[in-house]
Amino acid sequence: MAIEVKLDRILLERGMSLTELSEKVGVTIANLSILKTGKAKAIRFSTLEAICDVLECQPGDILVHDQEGD
Amino acid sequence: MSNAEDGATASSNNSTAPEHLDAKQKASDDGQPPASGAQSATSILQIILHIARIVSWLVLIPTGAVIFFLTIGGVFGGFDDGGDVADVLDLVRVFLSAGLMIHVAGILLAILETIKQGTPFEKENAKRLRGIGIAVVEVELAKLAIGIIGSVFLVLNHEKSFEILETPMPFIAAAIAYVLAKVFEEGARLKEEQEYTI
Repeated sequence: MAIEVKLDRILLERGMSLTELSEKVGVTIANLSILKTGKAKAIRFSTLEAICDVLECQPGDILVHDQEGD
Repeated sequence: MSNAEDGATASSNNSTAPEHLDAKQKASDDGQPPASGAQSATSILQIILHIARIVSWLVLIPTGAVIFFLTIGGVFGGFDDGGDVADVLDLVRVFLSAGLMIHVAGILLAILETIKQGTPFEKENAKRLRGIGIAVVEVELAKLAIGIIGSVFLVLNHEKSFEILETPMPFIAAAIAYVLAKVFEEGARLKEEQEYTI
């Protein structure tokens, strides 16, 4: 997919586990795993906002458009 | 439902299935229908389809036997007149219709089962509906061919006229089934998209 999810990198930088993020954001680990592995078809603004709030980052830090991936 | 609510209600297992699937699975496991009104209507329809299948079998078996014996008798003993041939061809059409009914009722029962489980919008159901459309067209074309052959045979033998096409309605039904298949296909795609929306 052309949109890459860089959740792994951000989590590593913040020293946060997926479980911790799941608890803080209120999204199940299963769903975060889907997002992390790039299997997700879409992400709600509310989810993105919650993740950005918890990780103190911008949406662009999590989602990156890969020009060659089209 | 918001994500926070999703997270609160979804199971916390380690599977990679979306939480929507978990919730759906849970509903199925509990045996709770998605809607009681729809459930009872589905059950009534299932009973009707089961009865239709039984009746169709009861028509199919004796019709098949009569066709067999009439054909054997006609081949070895010779048909008395064109009327006998017309009767056999009519019975073949009844036989095909009964067979189609058994096939279609079976597919509809499978679709109704998925509705009862609360998962009607599956790609499999789109395939099933398309299968109904194809089966109806195949059988109706076969019946049409029988009608044409019968007409040509009877006209050549100066016998009574033979109806080529009984009704065009099955072709319309096939078109409806095909359109419904497309709708279910789109529904399945949207459902998958919704399930993988985080």
